[in-house]
Amino acid sequence: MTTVCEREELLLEVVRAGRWTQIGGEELSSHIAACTSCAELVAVASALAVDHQAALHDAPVPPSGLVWWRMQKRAREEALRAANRTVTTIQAVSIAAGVAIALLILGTFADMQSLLHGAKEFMTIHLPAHVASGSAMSQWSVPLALAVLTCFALAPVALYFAFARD
Amino acid sequence: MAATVAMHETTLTAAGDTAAAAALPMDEETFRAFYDRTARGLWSYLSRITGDRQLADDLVQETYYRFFRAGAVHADENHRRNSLFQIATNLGRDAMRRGRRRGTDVALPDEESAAALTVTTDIAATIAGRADLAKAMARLTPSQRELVWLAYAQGASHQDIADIVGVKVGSVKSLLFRARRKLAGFLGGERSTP
Repeated sequence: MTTVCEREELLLEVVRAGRWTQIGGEELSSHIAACTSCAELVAVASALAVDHQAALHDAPVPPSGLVWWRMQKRAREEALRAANRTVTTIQAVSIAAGVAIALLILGTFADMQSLLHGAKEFMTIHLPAHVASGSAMSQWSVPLALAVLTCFALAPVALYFAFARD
Repeated sequence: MAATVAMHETTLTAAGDTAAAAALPMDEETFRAFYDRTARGLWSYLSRITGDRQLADDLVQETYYRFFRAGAVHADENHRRNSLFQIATNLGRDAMRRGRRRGTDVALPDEESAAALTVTTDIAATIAGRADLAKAMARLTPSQRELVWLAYAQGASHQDIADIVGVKVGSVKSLLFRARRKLAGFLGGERSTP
């Protein structure tokens, strides 16, 4: 149960001032002797106040300039690591996407070759010779695939410069 | 890639306006002044709640770095200070949860520092008193140590304590009362033990 004495606030101020026996006087001393809550407050607050003063005096804190420099250095290193992680991730994703697209194109190309082969046979049988030579379309498949692959290879570089500006 | 450190230097629209200055993220000068005002108090807090001076050294550095990296805007000095102590509290709890706490090794003051405390206090009594306090504090839970230290060593208000330790203001009073009663009981026990 919480039974806080109404004089605690005043008592705490006096204890913090560090001279409660002088400031408080006889009346306050009698009150502390009779009030358990205030007696506890004085015991705890006095002990902690003394320890706090000693701790402030003993605290082995480095100079502010050194702490600032260390923080700057660490912030730069972390920023660099984060940037490297981003670039590596983008490159990995791009390479994976490039490989996937290349495989897709190769698969499609193989299908197209068989289709073109069938179409060529069909055209040779049913169409005139100059129309049948329209299989030139298949000649464009390899440059097209190369162009797409080049785009995917350059994408990480473009993304890198885009993110680097940010 | 050139690393960008998130330290913004913004021109004050009203020069000399301290409230506006406090609302800005920190430049070096502001940080150093803030550090000089708070570092010793922060170290004392961390060393007493963890009971480990070496751990307190590490946590002080980490606290300032996290505070700096957060780049938060604070309404005033009090808010800024509370944020710093809030980070320290969380780091202290994490460290103790990880079991890094090596027990209480609160250093006793040497003669010079003990004499600096107060001319009327007997040095031996002060040293003994601090040893008793260290033992008694070690018997409290970490959250009780936080409460009593903030309230009675640092003189933080209930509102500040609530902000720092992350409890409702209404709960601070009763939690603090219980922690204080427990500590007073332990202190009485320590002092009556020969």
